[in-house]
Amino acid sequence: MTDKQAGLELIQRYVYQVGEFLPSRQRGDVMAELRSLLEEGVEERARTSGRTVDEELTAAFLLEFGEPSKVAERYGGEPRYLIGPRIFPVFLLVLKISLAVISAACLAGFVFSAMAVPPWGPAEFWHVQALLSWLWRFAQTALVNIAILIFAFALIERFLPPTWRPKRDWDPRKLPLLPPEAERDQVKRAVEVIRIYGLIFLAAVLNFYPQWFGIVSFTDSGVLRIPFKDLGVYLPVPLIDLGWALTAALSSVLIVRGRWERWSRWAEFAVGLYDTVVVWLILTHSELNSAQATSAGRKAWVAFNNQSLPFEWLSRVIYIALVVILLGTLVKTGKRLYRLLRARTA
Amino acid sequence: MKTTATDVPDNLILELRRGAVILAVLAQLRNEQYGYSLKKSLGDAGLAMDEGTLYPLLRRLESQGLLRSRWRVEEAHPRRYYRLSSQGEAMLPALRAEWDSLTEAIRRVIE
Repeated sequence: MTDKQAGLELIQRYVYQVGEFLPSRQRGDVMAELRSLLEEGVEERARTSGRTVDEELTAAFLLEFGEPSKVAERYGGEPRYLIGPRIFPVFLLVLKISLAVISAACLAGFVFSAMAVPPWGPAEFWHVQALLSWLWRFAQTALVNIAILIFAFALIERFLPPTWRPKRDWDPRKLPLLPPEAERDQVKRAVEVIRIYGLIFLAAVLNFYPQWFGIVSFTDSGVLRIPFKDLGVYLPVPLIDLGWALTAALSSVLIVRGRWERWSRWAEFAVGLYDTVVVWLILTHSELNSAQATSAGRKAWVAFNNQSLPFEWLSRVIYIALVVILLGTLVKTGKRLYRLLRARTA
Repeated sequence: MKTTATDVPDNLILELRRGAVILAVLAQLRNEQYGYSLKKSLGDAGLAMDEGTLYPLLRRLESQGLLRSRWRVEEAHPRRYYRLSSQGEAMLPALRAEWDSLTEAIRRVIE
């Protein structure tokens, strides 16, 4: 290979690399033009510098011309997107709606399967495995949904005319209101006071009148009173007390300070995480279908209900309620963490 | 692109020249030229541009309908020649008037 051939080969390799970064519809044309221009430019450089075209001269020329990806960027005009800014807001809206629908459908499916008879297997199966398999099904469905949406919107982006822009009637008076930042950090003292009294009441009942800590209903036919422990609900009293004490302590400090601060937001998140763990323990350690744990509860339910609804029905309602509470605390804790991390990076 | 004053950062010079070079390129392409000859004629007129900026600019102006191009293969290298399109020809006087007005206004502002 002659010196000139080595230089020209370097140009070919360079042009090929630029082409790798270009959209396919303009690749061939740009590559042909670029190659012609570069070859001519190198030859002109050789003439003016009194040298011959070789690899060293070509390399120096290409170095000045620029990195292949940057040259391609200049030719491409606009950055390339899988889902570009023109359709991204619509994509986000559709994604949120579809995830909300999937969540609702999965939750409905879970409630239905939990209430259905049979199968109504051993307690450990429907306590933990049913919940995990439901969460797994939700995750799978959500992921497939996200993948399909990304694929569909990427296709739309690919075939949308480059000049198309969404038509929007823009009116400054219709802009969304500013988020009430100042109000959001303001502590609602009345709410915190009610919370503290509520927690004291609950702690008093749980610790000193446990027979009233459960399902209580006053009706014409009498009083239904089934303590949670008679339903087989696991109640780790010291852990629950600690969680309520932490919440009440945080509320007390907030009443004194009057404003949410960074450390109190983190404390709120930590208490929420603790609560989630306690609810998880209650759910996984409860024996709602155990005959031994529920004999007293069954007797009270049958006496009150006159056998029109089976006791298992009540057990399942309790189970579903615990699952919903667990999901609620999980979502709330996750949102708090997300806001804290976002505020940190802002 | 080389700076004309060593104490002014390159990016400021680039910003300043960005709009002006479009007018210069359009004005030069009233007569058909290929990329390298255009670069030389701009450079000879004191408006040196690096190839990595000029050649993509030609493509953009063509995609906007201001230029048209064709390949010619009668010389040693096949070359793509550019010249003003009819839309570009119609646009050039208006751009020039805008440029005159702008330079006059800037002159008044900075003096």
